[in-house]
Amino acid sequence: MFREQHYSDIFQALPTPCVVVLPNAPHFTVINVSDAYLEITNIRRKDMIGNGFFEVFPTNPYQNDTIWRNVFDEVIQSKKTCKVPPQKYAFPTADVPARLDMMYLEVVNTPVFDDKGEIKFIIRSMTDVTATVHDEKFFEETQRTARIGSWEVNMAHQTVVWSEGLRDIYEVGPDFNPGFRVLEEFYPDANARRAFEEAFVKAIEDGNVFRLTLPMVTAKGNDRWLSIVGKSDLVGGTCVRIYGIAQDITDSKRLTCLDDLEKTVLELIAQPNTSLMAVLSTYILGIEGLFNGMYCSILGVQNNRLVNWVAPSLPEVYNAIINDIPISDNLGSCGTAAYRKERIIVSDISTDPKWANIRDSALDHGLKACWSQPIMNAQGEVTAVLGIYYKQVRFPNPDELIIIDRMSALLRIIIENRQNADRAREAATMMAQGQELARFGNWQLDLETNRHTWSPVLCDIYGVDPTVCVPSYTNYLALVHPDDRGRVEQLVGQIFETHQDTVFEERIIRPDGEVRHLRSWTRLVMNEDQKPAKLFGACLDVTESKQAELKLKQLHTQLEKHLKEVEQSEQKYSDLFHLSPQPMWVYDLATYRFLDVNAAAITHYRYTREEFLSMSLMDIRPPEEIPKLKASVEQSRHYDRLFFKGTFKHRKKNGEIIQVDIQSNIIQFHGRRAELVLANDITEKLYHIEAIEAQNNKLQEIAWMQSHLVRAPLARIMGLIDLIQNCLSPGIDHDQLLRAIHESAIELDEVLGDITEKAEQINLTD
Amino acid sequence: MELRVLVIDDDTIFNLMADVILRDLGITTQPQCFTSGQEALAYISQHDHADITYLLFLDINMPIMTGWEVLDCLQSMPHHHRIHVVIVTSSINRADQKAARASKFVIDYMIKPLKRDILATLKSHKKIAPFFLANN
Repeated sequence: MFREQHYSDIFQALPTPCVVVLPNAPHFTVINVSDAYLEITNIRRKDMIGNGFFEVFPTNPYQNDTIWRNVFDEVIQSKKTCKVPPQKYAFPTADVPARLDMMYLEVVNTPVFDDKGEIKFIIRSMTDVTATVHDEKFFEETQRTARIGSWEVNMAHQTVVWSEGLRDIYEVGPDFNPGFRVLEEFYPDANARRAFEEAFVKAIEDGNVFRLTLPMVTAKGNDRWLSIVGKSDLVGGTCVRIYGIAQDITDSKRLTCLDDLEKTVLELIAQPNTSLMAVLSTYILGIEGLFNGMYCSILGVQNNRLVNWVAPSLPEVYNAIINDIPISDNLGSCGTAAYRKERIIVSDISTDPKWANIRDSALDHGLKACWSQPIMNAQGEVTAVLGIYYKQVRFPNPDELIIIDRMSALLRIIIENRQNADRAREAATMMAQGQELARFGNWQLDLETNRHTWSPVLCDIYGVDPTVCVPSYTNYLALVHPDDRGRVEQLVGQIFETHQDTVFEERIIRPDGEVRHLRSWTRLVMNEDQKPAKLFGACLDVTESKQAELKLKQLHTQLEKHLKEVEQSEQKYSDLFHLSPQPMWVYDLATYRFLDVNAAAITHYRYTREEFLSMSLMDIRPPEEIPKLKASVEQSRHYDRLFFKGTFKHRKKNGEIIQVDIQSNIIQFHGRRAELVLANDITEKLYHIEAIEAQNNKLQEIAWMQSHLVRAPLARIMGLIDLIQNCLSPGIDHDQLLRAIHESAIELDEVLGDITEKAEQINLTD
Repeated sequence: MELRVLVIDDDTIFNLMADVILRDLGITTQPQCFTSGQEALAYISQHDHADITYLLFLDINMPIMTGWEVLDCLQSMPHHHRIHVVIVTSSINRADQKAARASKFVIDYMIKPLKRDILATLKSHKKIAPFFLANN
């Protein structure tokens, strides 16, 4: 105990700022801290001891949060002392806490082990290197501010002079002698060199001002863009000197180029025909062109694995290695980034524990640093990972981090857009089939994995047991009706040539022998590289409807036959009406109008068919008959099946009045309630009847006459004779009686004559 | 109680014959003959006694007033229950016979000429029989 306290006191008095933390990630509880540390950071001891390290220092304004929180990772992973290169830190000043004191600190994290070799605690010690860094920083600052430099080429003396500013731009030391070899040294781009040379040559000739914008590389290997303006002095036509200025326009140039690149990429996306890979590739190459030394790759996430999408500048071999790796923690920068869903910066692949397993693959290809940024979609899922490699050990500066953010934002847009488009297309395809899919049997063939899938409905249709039958092309063909097999094979083959959706009908024979008719659809779906990826198909059992089709055909034939018969029978009935020797017509019960009329009516009444059809019943009646007509029609209207009989007076076209015996029946005529009328002209008959009745009357007269007029004198004669024979009354005169007899006889004769006359008269009636 | 017999016929010869036969058969001793219905009706109305029952021999076929019309007029006479009519006609028309017998006055229908045997039977007709019991 005593010794510990002793050590603790010593520790606290150490001039080096130190803090001791427990390795309990992510808290890293502070168990001891030196006074020097407290002094620099301006924190009280009691505020540190027992709290988590990151509770005390949640952020470092000069560092990315992720990096900051991972400060202890290296030492924990490697279990070795780790030196963190000088970083900027900011701590509140003693007197004015609001003001931050900025300093450069070199940090060393040292692990302390227990008996088992496990880390007991970590000692974090810092060295203030602010002064040293300042010098270096000075150059950096001046680089930033020294944007313009001047130069002069003395043609006579063949000398070149550079100003301080220019030296800064070129990042050359004071003892650097600029010569004519400046082009080769600083302008690796052949086009730049040529432009420069041409401008110079021209200036020498005509003495005009030239302007150039050229990419160059400084002595320190930094990419810069210079805007160079130059002029030559001609004396007597000869160039004596060329001079000018150069301005560092790197930042603005790079930003401009970046903008242009982004614009290009966004335009590419807008075109539906460009593949995602093409767009990503274009973007990456553009970025790599702007930032020399950067090697970018984009990995896609598929089935929780990382698949290589584009990495145009990385070696093929390396790409193959990192293709299709599982997403897991500590599996390279990209794997870890996808797993943790956060940016992972590995500045040194050789030492970073995340690269433990695949370190060699990277190092073999000269890749020494890898920064990974996961690209997330709107749902927060990782859809891709951006990996930026360097062939040097390298930690990103804040500008580069901003670039990474910018890239990731754009990539997110690109990928989401493309995936949405794909998804939309796929959904549309699915939806088109979707409703029908419920009753369809569908199958899939993944051409890349050669995996067949048959849906349960399909197995149903085929009549096979899904647990027994293995889906395959051969098995399918075996089910196809032998007569259709050849055609089906040909159609399937055609799909691969034409890439067109195919619809066809086929028969299959189920294992139980039943024949079914199927309607089948097939579609070939291509992948990103326009190569066949999947073959989709669906089929519908149309056996019933096929049979229904056949039945329908039969019925149709039968129907035609029936229709013919009906036509003929209708014709017969039509003939009955039209050829009847009796006048017949049909009239509308509601309007009295003639609806149809036969030939006999036309002949008899002397109106034409057209005239009839424009007339009504009234027109063939003498006016005095119309009330009677209306009354009888009213009767007809009330009854449904009324057989009507009656005698009416009609009037022919020539005015002749005829007596007509009407028989009629209520019918439906073309949808209207109508009456079918049979008209019998009984004028003659009635005339004859009248004649006969007259005859009868005459005969009756005769009969009467016979009984009275004839008999009377005869009875008298009989009586008188009897009287003569039997009556012996004296008062009776026989002569008188005989005379009476004679008179009666004459009377009788006369009467008989009358009768005969009357009888003759009968025959004269006509 | 007297049975007065009238013969009404427009044929005078018939009336003559009827007179002879009626006397001969004892139906009446004094037949009254008229040649028209009106005359007969006038006589009846003038000679209407409670004791007198009339027996008419009436012809149908008469000018001016037919036998039917006479029958109709008798209807309106008082004491007409004491009038009995025998229709005498030359008509053999059955319809006439029917019509005649329909009248309540008509007790018989005879066809000319009058026959002795038929007349004899008449005497026993219930309506007039009481008048002949005494005689025969």
